[in-house]
Amino acid sequence: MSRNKIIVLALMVLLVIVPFISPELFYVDFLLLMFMYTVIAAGWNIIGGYTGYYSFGHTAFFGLGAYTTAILVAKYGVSPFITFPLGGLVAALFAFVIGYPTLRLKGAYFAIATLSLSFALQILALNLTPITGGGEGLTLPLPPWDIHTTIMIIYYMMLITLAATVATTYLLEKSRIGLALKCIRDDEIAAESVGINTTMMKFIAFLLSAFFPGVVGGIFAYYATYIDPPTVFDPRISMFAIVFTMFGGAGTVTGPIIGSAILFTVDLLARYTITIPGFDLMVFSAIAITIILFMPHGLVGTLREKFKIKLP
Amino acid sequence: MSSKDKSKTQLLIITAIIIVIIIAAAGYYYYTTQKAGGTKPIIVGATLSLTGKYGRTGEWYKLGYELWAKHINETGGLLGRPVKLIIYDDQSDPTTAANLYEKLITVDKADLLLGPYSSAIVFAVSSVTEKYHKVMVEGGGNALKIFSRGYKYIFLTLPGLAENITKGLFDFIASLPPDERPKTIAIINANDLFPKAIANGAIQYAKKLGLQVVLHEEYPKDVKDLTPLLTKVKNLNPDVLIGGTYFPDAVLVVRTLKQLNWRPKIVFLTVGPAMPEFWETLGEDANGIMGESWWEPSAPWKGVKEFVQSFKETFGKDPDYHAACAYAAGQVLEAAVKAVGSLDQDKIADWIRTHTIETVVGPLKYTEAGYPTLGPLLIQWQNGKRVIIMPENAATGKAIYPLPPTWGG
Amino acid sequence: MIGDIATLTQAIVTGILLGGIYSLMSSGLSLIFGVMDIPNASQAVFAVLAAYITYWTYTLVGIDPFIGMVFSAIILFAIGIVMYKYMVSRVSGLMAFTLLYMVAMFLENTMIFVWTNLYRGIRVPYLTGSINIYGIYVPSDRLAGFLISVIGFGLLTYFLKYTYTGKAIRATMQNPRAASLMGINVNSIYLFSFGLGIALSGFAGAILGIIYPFNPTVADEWIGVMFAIVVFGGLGSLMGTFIASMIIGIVSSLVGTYASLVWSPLIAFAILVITLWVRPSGLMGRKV
Repeated sequence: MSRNKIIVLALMVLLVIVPFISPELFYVDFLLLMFMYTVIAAGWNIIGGYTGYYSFGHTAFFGLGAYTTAILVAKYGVSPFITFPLGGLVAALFAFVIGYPTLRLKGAYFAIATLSLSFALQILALNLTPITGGGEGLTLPLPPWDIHTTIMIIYYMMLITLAATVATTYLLEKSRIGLALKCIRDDEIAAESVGINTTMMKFIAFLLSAFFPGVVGGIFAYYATYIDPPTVFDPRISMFAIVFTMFGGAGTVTGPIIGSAILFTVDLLARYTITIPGFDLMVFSAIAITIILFMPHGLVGTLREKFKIKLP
Repeated sequence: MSSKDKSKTQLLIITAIIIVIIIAAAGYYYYTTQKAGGTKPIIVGATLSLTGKYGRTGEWYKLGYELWAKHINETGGLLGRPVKLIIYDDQSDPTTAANLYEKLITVDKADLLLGPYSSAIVFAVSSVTEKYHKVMVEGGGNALKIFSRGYKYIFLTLPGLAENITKGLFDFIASLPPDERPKTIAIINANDLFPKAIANGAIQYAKKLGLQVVLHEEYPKDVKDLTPLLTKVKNLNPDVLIGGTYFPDAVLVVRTLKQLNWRPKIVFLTVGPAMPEFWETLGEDANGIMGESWWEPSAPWKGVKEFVQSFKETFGKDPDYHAACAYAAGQVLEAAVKAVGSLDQDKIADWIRTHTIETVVGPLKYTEAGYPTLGPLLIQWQNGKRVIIMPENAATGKAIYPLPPTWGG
Repeated sequence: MIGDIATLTQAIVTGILLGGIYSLMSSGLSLIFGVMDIPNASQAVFAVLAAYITYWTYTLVGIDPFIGMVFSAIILFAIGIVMYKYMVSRVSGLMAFTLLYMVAMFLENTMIFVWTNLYRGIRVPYLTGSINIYGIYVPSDRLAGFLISVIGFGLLTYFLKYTYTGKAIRATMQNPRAASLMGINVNSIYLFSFGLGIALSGFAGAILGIIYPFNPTVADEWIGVMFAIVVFGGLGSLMGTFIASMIIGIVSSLVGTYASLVWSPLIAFAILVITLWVRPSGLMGRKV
């Protein structure tokens, strides 16, 4: 265990000092976007990976967080550092509201319901023009700092959120709640019959799973300085969360991290090197299909099973 | 699950994936570290939507940029240095595009920047280029919102804003004798940044001419049935129908009008009628439909003939307006750099703002906010051809006006 | 305040015809979802593929789209069989949904790769106008879609009710284990149903290509409303799917006529969420 701790510590130190040793701002920029996707993936992992409820609409939480920050900052001049967690809370609140009708649904029904809700939110954002600015989107004021400072601040905000998400997942896994969630995933009826309050547990998982993507949604809005419904409610965001997590290993702490790190990098490289329309997403979906068919437990699961490498 | 074969397969797959990643990374490293020797080229960077929803349009800009770079390198380059283009694919995604401009500026050290395509992407990207005080000349995003933020380093080569799209149409209406002029207008548009801007502009123009807007209503971009909306329009029987459309909904408008067997005196739609596919999809039914064209190969501007000919020789097809605007963006940068004799971004910006620049899309004179107000050409489909109606000095035919009130089919 | 009766009638007719397109698009999804409990997220993409096949056989060879659609249905049937055999049968439930979602993405981007994002349209000159019945306009292209849908649903219902294979499919739908005990080869029923379900997209795709300009990405615009219709109609009920399509079509049209079209897309999702909340088994479906 101590060796693991050293690795984790070293990694954390490295990530903290990256902005100072990075030769170019772009790499910091790249990392912060990677963190963003990792947080969404790790958030998804709590409800999808641990509990077995595949949400196909996680972009809804991201978008809600983004709009919370955009509206409060642009229209009311609230400090973004307050709106980031608020966006998470709004996302969690939304999860709470939709949890009641959707968490009763099994398997693919839950997937369809969440997918549809994310579509519905996008349509609402497009048409509630007085609040959301409609199709014209919302413009946030440029951050008051110079470009270097701004990106550093965004970077650390993303990093802190990532650390919080991973820590939450880690603690969850060790706790009775995590155990209960896994029971639900493996056999919900059995879980209920041994006295687990499945409804309560599922709500906890769903709320946590919505909170973190909501927070990064807000940070993203502040970073992008402009958001519109098709960007922040993009179904691809949900899909990336699912594929990244499954690739790394659903229901593991490190799975979403490893998955996002590798696939996000691959995606980016594909984008720079091959510019034939459609090719990059072809490769991306082919990888996903391969994982589902041949590696259902993802990288972490495979490493655990075949190579006896212990990863949390 | 635990059979030997399966674990072997899995090991193989993992190995394969890792190898692919390593090769990709190595390729990328090689790709980025390769620097040309000799005279250091001037790096001109841009991202374009080569994949994703605007994939096809992005390709036109790419050809325009490439042709400009080719011409400039054939004639001795800029400031005696060759020009090197770096174009990335932004997947039609504003976030990706903004991130890539960050890369162009900080990693690739681009000396000059050209723009991406579509208003939403330009909007996102310009907040990056503005932060770095980098001039960006773009021909792909002309929503007023982009230019109403007080930014100083962004310039447009589309010869007008989305708000100006209907200018030609209203010039045409104004050119009619007063007793023949239409009196009432209905405006419909998709609920999206660009079509909204068109509608807002049209309302302003209509007010100026004293025309009455009897209906203004929006519809979702991916609308599947326009009958309910167009029935409403038909019941009001306006003289003019203006549609802030994209391609699919423009086609749908024409088809639905025919199905309702009704036609106002003027039907003006955006984007769709400017494309050759409009006729291919609608055939005869496209006759008489008016649209905007930011540029035509027959446009009367300086250098158009040479541009069209060279484009044809190089790529084997006629350029469209996207390609022309892209080429013009290069021309604007070229003119400014040559005039100020350096790559100083502030000087370049000042020069562009204070001079009239001859380009293939017309003489561009910029407002303080960074856009020209030339306005597009007004075109009308007549028997498979786009005929230029307005401005009069560029006209290639006479307008069919008014359109027959029914389709007779 | 309902305007005049003609407007209302026109709105309802328009809605029914739109419902015809919806039902055609959703038929395959409904069949596959009903029989094997897999929501086939790739259904809409296959419809677009069919639109391309019909388009190319029409523009290159000159085959009439109404014959071309049979041709594309056959091709799609073969693709469906192969897909089921080598991919879908290896996974179940949720994983199957995820897999098919990825297949959809793969296919969509492959089509962009091959055919680009250029919009195409199948132009059938004899279908561009409309029929005027007492001042109500019935567009020919949509009427054709509606008729094909009615015929298709009729044949399908007959097939399920009166043929041996059809009965076997219904038995499998109700209880796969019991069906297999009765000597039905459930696996080959699944194989056939999946092929048939995908093949139904062949007809939907041709109509799609006749009515709307299309490119590979238009599939994304359909999948949400298709899910809504199938869940609303109830799993395993083709009749339910048909009726649900009509209701969603008519309500969308009424909203467009008396309020604004911008709210129409919300109808389907609102109905979906309410269905899942109040009555997850849908209009006519079995219990979930």
